[in-house]
Amino acid sequence: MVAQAEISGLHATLLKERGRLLRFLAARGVGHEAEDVFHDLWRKIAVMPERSIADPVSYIFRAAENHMRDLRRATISREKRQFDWHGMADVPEDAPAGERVLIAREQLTHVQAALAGLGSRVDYVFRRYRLDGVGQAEIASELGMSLSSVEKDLQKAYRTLAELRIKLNTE
Amino acid sequence: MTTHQLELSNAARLWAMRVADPDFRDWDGLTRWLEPSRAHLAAYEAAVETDEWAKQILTKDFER
Repeated sequence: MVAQAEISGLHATLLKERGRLLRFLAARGVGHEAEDVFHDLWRKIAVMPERSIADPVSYIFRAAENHMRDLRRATISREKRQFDWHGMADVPEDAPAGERVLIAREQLTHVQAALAGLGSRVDYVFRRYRLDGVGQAEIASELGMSLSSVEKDLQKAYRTLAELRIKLNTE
Repeated sequence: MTTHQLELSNAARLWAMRVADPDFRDWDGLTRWLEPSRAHLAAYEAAVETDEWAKQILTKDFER
């Protein structure tokens, strides 16, 4: 065990928020491996550079969310490899690189067109939010818009992209 | 899709959208929304996947 004095701020937060975090992890689909995931987070935090974090509680929840996304991606790509091996995937992972680039380019054209179709402001707000990583409140003040208008613009973009993805997958 | 499924995926998409905000703080709210059923989690994961798909496509570097 690490002596109490050596426990860094984030680790202290992790311990303090353990109950809340385990409840979040359970809701996020972690079953009996909750303790393992908790220890993975502990280790991840240990290798992070020391710097001041404005909101340590939110920081550890973000780390937990990202960790769950990583786990899911790993599961999906494992399943996908298995699927490819059976020769059933539409675009096998070992498809020629050129073919994959072609598909990606085509999807990019569709995404760009779908966003452009919503008007330049919605397009801009979505890119600022999702590609530049700027929060809704900051975008609202940058553009002199209300927070709820920014949220509505984002909702339009998200809805359109969800519909587009379904369409592309069923074509 | 039934009305219920549609409502579920709309709600899930809203959560995925809000979580993408660097200032998102309502982790307990997300927990409470996910808890009632595994269908909520499945809808949330699908929404997250779509969000990441769009982001990945828009940031892909085609120069080669």
